[in-house]
Amino acid sequence: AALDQLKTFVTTVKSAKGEFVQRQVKTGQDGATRVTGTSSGTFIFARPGKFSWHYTKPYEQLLQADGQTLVVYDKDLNQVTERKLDNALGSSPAAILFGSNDLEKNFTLKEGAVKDGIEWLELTPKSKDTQFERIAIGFKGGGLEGMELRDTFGNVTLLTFSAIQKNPSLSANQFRFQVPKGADVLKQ
Amino acid sequence: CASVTPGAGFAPAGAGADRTIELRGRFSARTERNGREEGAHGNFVWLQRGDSVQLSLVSPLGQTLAIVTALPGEATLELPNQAPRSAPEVDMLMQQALGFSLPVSGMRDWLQARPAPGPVVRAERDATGRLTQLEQHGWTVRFQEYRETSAGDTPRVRRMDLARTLDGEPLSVRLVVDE
Repeated sequence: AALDQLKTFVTTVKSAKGEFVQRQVKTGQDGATRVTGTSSGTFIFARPGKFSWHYTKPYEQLLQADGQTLVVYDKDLNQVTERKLDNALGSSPAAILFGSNDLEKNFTLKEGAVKDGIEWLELTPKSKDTQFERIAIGFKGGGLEGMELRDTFGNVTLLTFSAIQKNPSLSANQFRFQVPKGADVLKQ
Repeated sequence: CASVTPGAGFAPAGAGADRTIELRGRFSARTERNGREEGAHGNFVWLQRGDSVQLSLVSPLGQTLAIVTALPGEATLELPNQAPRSAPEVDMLMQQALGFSLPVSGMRDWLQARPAPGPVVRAERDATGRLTQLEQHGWTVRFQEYRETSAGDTPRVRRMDLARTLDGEPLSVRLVVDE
């Protein structure tokens, strides 16, 4: 079931590379869902706590963590923001996919639905000061398929993963961020 | 189409004669308080109808971090897992709850590339008459980039920098409007 697939994923996939598509989904009163925004890009991660989540469409935005610091870089704004990683990871999707801490500490886990062969696991954050009401993660044959992020205002983000390579060799400074010349840096 | 459940006090799209202006984009805001730099950086959704504005601050992954609803003389702010707060002034409400504020009242017009009501200290325009810089309400607004629009269409701002020049701590904001 989904929980065993997640546990296997967390223990056997030490690092990964792949692509993602992110869709903002809105559910109308009539229950019909429509996509109100789409973005896409590539990701790399290495446990624990190292990841690079890079939006390339419709604009260039990067979230990158080297295990200590989380950097957010926006090319159009020429803005870099740096923040301590520990409080940023907390109960976020990054903690599930790329983190090291055991999930039961931060989430209550429940087997979710099975849809088109994808087994979903539902994770409800235990802490109250998070913008996530619930996170679901979907696996198919041991492979990471997607995630569903629901916030406390009822907005839903659907992430679909593809072209995943498990345990690729990654260089250490892969996750170190080079501040572009002239970019404005804000340390929080 | 509104991407976020409209907060209290915001008439649903389509109601009333005014049309809804919906803008999505990204912002960064920086201020200095007792020698320490503070600020925020994220995505936003801007819904405006007539005088009422609903500004949602959204994380890159799409979670709403705050909803600010500004009506003339009344502002409300909603944060995850917290009761809504209200105050007469949206800027002060944002400052207290978020640690930074955006000049929401001025932006009603600045985002439409036109001066807000009230005195204009200085306005500079380019050869085609589009605003390039504006000083108003204690702010300096630089219209850095416009979208390609055909002649006669209302100009659409893509990149804008705002700097508070008068009272209060220095506050500088960068905005890019995506759609």
